[in-house]
Amino acid sequence: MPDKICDLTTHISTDPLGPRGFPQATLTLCRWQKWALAGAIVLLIAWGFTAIHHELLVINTALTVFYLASTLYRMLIIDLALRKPRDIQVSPDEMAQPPNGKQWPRYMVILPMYHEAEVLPGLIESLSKLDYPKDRLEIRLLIEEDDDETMPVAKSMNLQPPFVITPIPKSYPRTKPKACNVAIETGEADYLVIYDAEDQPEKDQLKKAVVAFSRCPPNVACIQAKLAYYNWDWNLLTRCFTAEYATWFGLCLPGLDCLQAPIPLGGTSNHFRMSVLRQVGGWDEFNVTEDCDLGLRLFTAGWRTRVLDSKTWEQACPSLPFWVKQRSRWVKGYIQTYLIHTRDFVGLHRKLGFWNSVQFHLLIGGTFVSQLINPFYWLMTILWLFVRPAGIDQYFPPLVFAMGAFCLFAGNFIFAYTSAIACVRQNVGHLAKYGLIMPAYWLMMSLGAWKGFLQLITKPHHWEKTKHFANTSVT
Amino acid sequence: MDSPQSTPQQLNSKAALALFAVFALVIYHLPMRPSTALTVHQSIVDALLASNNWGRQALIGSIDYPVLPSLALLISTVIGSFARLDGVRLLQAIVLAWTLCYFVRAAYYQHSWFTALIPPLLLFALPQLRNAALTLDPGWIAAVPFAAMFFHLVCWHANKGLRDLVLAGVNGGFLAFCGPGPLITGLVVVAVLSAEQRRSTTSMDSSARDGIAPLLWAPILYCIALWLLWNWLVMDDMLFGLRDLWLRADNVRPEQLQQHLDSAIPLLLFCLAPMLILVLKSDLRVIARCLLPTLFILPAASVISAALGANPASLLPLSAVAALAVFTLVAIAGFGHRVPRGCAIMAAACCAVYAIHSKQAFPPDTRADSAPAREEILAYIDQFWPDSRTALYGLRLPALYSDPAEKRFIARLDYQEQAFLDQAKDEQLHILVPPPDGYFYPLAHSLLADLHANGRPWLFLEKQWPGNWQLWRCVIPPKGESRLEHLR
Repeated sequence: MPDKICDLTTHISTDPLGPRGFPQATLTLCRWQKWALAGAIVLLIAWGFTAIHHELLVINTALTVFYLASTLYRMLIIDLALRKPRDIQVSPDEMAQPPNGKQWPRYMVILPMYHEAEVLPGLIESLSKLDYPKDRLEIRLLIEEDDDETMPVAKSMNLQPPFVITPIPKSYPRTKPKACNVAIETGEADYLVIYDAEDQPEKDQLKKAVVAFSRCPPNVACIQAKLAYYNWDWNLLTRCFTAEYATWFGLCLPGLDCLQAPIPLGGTSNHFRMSVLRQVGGWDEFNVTEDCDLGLRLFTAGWRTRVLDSKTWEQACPSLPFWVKQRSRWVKGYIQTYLIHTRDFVGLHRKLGFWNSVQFHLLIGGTFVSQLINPFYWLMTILWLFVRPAGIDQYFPPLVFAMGAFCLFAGNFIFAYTSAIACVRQNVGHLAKYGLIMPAYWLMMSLGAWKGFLQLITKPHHWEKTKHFANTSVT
Repeated sequence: MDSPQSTPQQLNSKAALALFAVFALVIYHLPMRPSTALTVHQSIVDALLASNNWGRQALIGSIDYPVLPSLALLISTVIGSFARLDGVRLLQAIVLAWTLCYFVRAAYYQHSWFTALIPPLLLFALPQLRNAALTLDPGWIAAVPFAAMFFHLVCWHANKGLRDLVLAGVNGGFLAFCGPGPLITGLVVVAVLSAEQRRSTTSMDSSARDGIAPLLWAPILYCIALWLLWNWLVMDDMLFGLRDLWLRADNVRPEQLQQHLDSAIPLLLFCLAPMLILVLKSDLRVIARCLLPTLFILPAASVISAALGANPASLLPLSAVAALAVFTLVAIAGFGHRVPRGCAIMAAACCAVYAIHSKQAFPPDTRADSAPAREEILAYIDQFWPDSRTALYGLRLPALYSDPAEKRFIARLDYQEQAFLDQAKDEQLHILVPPPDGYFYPLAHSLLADLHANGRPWLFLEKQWPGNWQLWRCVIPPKGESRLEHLR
């Protein structure tokens, strides 16, 4: 075992909110956030007793303005993504030689795994195809030392370099970011990429990333490859999920890249400059969307993330219960990340500047807020359409009604339509029609969001693991 | 499928913005005359601003006074009131400037500034187009999506970008909110574009065209579905907005179509010559093929709407813009040989000469001129029933006696007898019924036509004007005002 290069898992400060020197999700709320939340609840209850109509009108107006801003922001990033795509394209000619003309840099691939014995053979086969000099590559399988399912299978495969089994000691918290931090404490590499157990990256992705890094300015610390699903045809859920991913990685991230906005990283296929990753402290092991948090942390530290036009094929969760679990974790993590980064509210806005702060609130805050409040507005819309209860008009004065109507009739269509555009753009055009039925899918997203929100209160650090299915497991 | 990052011939956004500002400023100050449709749209806007129920109904309940012009006028009126500008002129200026910018950008896309300035010069040089441009009509809003569609077609033809294809489809969708003629135009252009797109990718991998058809069709179908939904929400009848035209169609005779054909044909059919040369011989034949059906649809829609006595919603502006599109295409197309180019320019010049000498397409309808003056009606009613309000039904009639505060006139889009009777129990009411000439209401199966002919047992004809306008008084006494109750 190589010597330790850095100390990510054992260096603990006395700060309960940031034991490793940066704000972490050890606690959900800091002191002022608790007081602010309590104050807001008290204020809302008191206001409700004194002037409930006025209160509802103000809340409704605020939420309508938020919806409108989200819709306009979405339109902006989609238009930018289509108008001037900025994702990095690398041609085969550029990959013929190392960028420095001598040798390819050292690359480390890490693969956190837990109870993944079923998909391990496929993973090894997929990663063996990576087109990168084997002597410059190290592929670390991060397996929990008490994982009686995966460890024996991995050992029985008699893996040869560049594959290395890295046992993860049993310790709290038992999360993927903790395993990743353990993995990068040792070893020498210039770049690092993280993949999930079921990932199938394009075989030239590492070389593309190296060329991309060489073309980018030195402040680019991370390159995010695009994720796509290979099992889109398994069922309706995987089709919709594929359309959603096509939108996020095909339009939203390139749009954010154009705006040079903070980019919440996707869970896998993040290529890092190893030194920068270690310098910012690796991942927050308490955060259940550590990738999103890391993307923001890099941005606030002055580093930038770019998007690479190379795909990693993943498995879309084909089972609704597991999908809801995965979604609940994502939403819980987004709330955690939002709360962590707003602990130093003024400092954050000073670091980000006005426009990036607005984008942070719309992107991170807006994602979970909209998923949580959507069901109420859908219910209100259904009531308005079919029951038309008296008195609902008083909460929609003309300007609010105009904004609300725009969001209802235009906004929802724009969100669904952009999914269809993304499908065509990502060469899964046959799924465009599923993009248009996304409103039904959003209903399930809200279900997952509420599960995640409630779990944030009861089990903030519980990791709802995404189950990966072997190709034959689901028909 | 993606657009290139920058195209040298594309007008940069600052130049386009400056051009827009100059156009808007100039157009705002040009002398203009109001159109007949403006009165109705203006009344709808006034009613909406006063939170009047008729305004809400009128906004969506008629296909020949469509949604987008009224909404655009509403927005420009609100903005104008803040900026102390005339909302109607502001709308006309913005819309025309916006449209011209699209044409300038389309013309500049492949050629020089000289070519780019051809569309604005033509718009104000040709009398037919100039007359249309100087007529204050919220229906001009239809010109923007049409011009945008044209511009994105030109861009798509040049770079096959997905964004341009999508925006062409989206702008086609907006035409659905501009009246029946623009709606059909949008549908047909999208259909042809869909076919052209399929044809252009036949030689490529079939996956390249997967999903394009839903992308092109979704906006326009969604807009149609929305309009039907709004009709259901506001009028309790999904097809309400179509009924008026449907009932009017019962009464149209072929001779009427023939009668209007002469005035409809002028410019557009004569644009056919350069368009056919473009379709057959130019390098922009794909765009020409997409626009070709427009040259048939717009005159046909004009003839039909004139025969129906309906408002030719956005047809005049759209015809002007379609002609501009043809001229612009002739200017920017490559023909390969001198002969076809010369032919196209000659044909376009003939159109221009014809346009200079042709008569006005549709003379304004004067049937509303026989309406009794508001003051005359009120003076008559106030002699005996000073508090009585007069009920008005339909779209054009309430627009004629606009009263957003409903002090003396109350308006509804649909005639609901029971609602009228319920209202009559609370207050003294009159009904003003226009003559059955097919202008204010259809002649067949219309309750108002029946009312005009036969009245009702509870209505008393108080006055009939020479133009056959009738003023009926409801004889049901309001609660507590019947003298018979004292006798009982």
